[in-house]
Amino acid sequence: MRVWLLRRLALCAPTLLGVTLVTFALSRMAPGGPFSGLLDPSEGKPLTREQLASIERTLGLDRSLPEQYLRWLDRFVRFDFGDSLAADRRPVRAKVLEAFQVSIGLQAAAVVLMYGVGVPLGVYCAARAGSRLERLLGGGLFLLHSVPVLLLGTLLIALFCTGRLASLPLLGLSTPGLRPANAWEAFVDLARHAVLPATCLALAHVAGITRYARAGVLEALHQPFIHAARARGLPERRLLARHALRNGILPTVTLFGSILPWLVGGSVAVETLFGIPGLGRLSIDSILGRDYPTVMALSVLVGTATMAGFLLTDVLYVLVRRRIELP
Amino acid sequence: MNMRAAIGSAAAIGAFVLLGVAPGCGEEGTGASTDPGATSQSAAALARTLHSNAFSEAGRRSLRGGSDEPPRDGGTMVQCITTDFGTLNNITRETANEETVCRTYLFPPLLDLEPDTLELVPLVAAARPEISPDRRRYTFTLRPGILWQRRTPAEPPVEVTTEDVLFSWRMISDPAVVKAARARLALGVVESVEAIDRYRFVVVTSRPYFRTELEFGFNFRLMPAHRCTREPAAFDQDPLGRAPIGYGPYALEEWKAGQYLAFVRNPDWFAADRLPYRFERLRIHVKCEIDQVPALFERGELLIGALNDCGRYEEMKRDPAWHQIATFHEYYLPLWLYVAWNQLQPQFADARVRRALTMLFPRELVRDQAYHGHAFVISGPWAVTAKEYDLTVAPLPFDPVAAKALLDEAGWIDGDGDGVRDRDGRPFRFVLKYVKTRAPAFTLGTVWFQEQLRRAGIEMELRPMEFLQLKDELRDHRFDAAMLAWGADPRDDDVYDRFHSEAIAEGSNYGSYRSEECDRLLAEFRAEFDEARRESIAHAIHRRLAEDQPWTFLFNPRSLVIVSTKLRNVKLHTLGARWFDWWCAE
Repeated sequence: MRVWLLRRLALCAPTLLGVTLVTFALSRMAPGGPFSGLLDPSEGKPLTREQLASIERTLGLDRSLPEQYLRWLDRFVRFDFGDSLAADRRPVRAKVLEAFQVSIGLQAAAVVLMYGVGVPLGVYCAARAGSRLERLLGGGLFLLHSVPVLLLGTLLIALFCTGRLASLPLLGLSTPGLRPANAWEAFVDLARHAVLPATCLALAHVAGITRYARAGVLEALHQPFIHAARARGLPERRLLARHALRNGILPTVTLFGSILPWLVGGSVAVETLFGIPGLGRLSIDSILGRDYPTVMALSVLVGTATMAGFLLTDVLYVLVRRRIELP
Repeated sequence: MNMRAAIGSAAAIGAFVLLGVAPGCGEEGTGASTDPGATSQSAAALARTLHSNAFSEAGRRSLRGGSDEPPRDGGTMVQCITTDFGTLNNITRETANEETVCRTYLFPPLLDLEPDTLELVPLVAAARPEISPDRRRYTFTLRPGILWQRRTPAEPPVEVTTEDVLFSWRMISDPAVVKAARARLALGVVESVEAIDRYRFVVVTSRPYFRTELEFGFNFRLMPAHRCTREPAAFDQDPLGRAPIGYGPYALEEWKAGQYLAFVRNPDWFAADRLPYRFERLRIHVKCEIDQVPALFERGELLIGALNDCGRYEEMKRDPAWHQIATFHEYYLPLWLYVAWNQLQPQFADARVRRALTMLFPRELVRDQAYHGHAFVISGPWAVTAKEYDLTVAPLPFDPVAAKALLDEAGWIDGDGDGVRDRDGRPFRFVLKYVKTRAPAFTLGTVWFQEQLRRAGIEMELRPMEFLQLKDELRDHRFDAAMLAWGADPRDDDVYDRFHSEAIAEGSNYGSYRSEECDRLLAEFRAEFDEARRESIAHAIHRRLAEDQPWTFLFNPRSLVIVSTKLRNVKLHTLGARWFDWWCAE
């Protein structure tokens, strides 16, 4: 397994390089530039071509694209992502890290929630397969899956942030001006702010998890060893939890690998709706603002997470079912 | 950022561009202005109401006086905006909202605009500048005793002096300060700044220009020389950008990245007699969705907010429950929408065709149905509240029959019977480019316009696109037609850069409009220092452009604002809802 793992890791480097190259090319091919804002037709005197060229010279944006890419690569290997081209001109690493901390916490809470709800629901559906309640649950989950996140979030806001049931905050991750006396108070405040966005994120994916868990457990329930265990008089609950779930959880576990990039990348819709300064929002802002260094850093982050996700999927696959043979 | 955007933003609300541009709601009275037969007398009456911004009966009724109660200091003013702040470095700031915060709360300008008369009044300057007879030298005197904010009370007080002025000028004029490009542009006519003593300095300009006092007085950006890095290359990354030290009515207390900015009242605020700013704290939430304004307002998390959905605004106005918590205010923004025609394309080179196209745009329908009557149909390139706008020039009416006749006259007829007009074998087809926004003129207006064109035998493709992409295409004249918004100055707006033939190569004359008469008038306008004469030249320009239709002038929308009933002394000014003397009853 070690050799296999090393081989997989070695393959990651050229893949990541390819990702950065494609991102670099695509971001530069997009029309407009980081300073096109200074050509704003709605704001009077626009920059002349000469002035624009002077700015680009200062920032090295006038060099050839291969040269710019190599310079970026040179800094990247030293883990230096440069400074943002946005108005704040802050180091990209600090900006990305700041947003990453926000996103990862929120997305992790969502993942816990989606697995916490999805897996038991899936097991329940498998155990009651074909029943009216199971069909009803399946239909409900399908409906939930079909609802766009933005609409789901708006519904949650309408339910829990306004009107009679208004009990949860609407914006941000902390109460402005609140000086928590201790860590517990701070946690409660954070949890109150995070519960709706995390629920919104989780609900959008809970149907998928449930279906995977249901299919896996249902398949396991039809295996001969389950029939044998049942014949030995093993209680149904134990049969489900110990044997069927353990064997049927594999597809659900491997699904985690594909969730990882999403986990790292943040969610534009939810972050926008709930006013959360995470990676999703940073991504869209930096793409629209042609903030090339930030776009590149984010592509490295998400690219790494995607590869790590695939790797993790394979590793988990092996760990959960050791009988799978390595190539 | 220039004066134009600055005042536009100041006008929006409490000196803020709250949640983007609210396509305001024109009342019944606005319809009168579009009557082609409007007399100069009715135009004058309309001008009076427009200029006083008191045309809204609903708004006037909803104003809450505070005369019977003594003003109360304290409380927190809460606002929200759709964008985020990158920096509060007064010199390298870029967006309209950064500008508003810097200019209004942290670094007030040398000269301010009186919110009703729009006259220049001294603020950081002790008086208006002395101007040399050749109108090239402006001597400003700083008001003594203005103190930079201190991080701790133990810090010795530091006064705002000409050292700060010279330092700031050095940073603004140095090309190494990349992000100061906007500041440099706004002061393009300034050649040098020289100190006379601790409080007096002279601004020397390259040529006489009627806007110099306004532009320098309102646009010059100060930063503390004693706290900033002196290295130009490092200036736009100075940490002061995220932890600014100003001298305005508020000081930054907390910057919660991506969430909100909290400010606390500056005890050393020097102009509290005129601009009291009674709220102890100010909080601005960033990156809010405009749709969330009603919800936030209902929860009491906002005290003032702007809406862009006219229909929703009207619904709220009709709901008695909303009147318990909010008052409703409407006023014209110094902003207007237009379609630019690229006259390098053969189909748009003929003024008759451009006039026909304007007559096919159902502007009245869009105003009444999409804006719920909350926009003013315009005929020229100024904000409708500006004195330069000639209210006697009626907009071209929506008239498909007359438009078709004009197109026939220009030689665009359907020769091959395929339903599309053509001339010299070239069919009349074009692409309308615009930035995707939710303003009614862009969502519904474009589609209704397309339908009218189709009926008249013209094919128009709609192509919404990204903001930066459209900017590049405009600069390079790579478009047929483009629909845009212009943030205008409420006073002294110089349109030279938009319509003079010199501005085709390096300016905002994207449509390549050329007119000798207009060039002459535009040059006369910017050389004229007498306000009355300049106004009359502006009216002549207006008439010329209304005749030539280089752009189809569409609407001047109104801002729709809701204000909490907890607030007192709420009033509208010509510049909109500015809350410097409002106070909170609870």
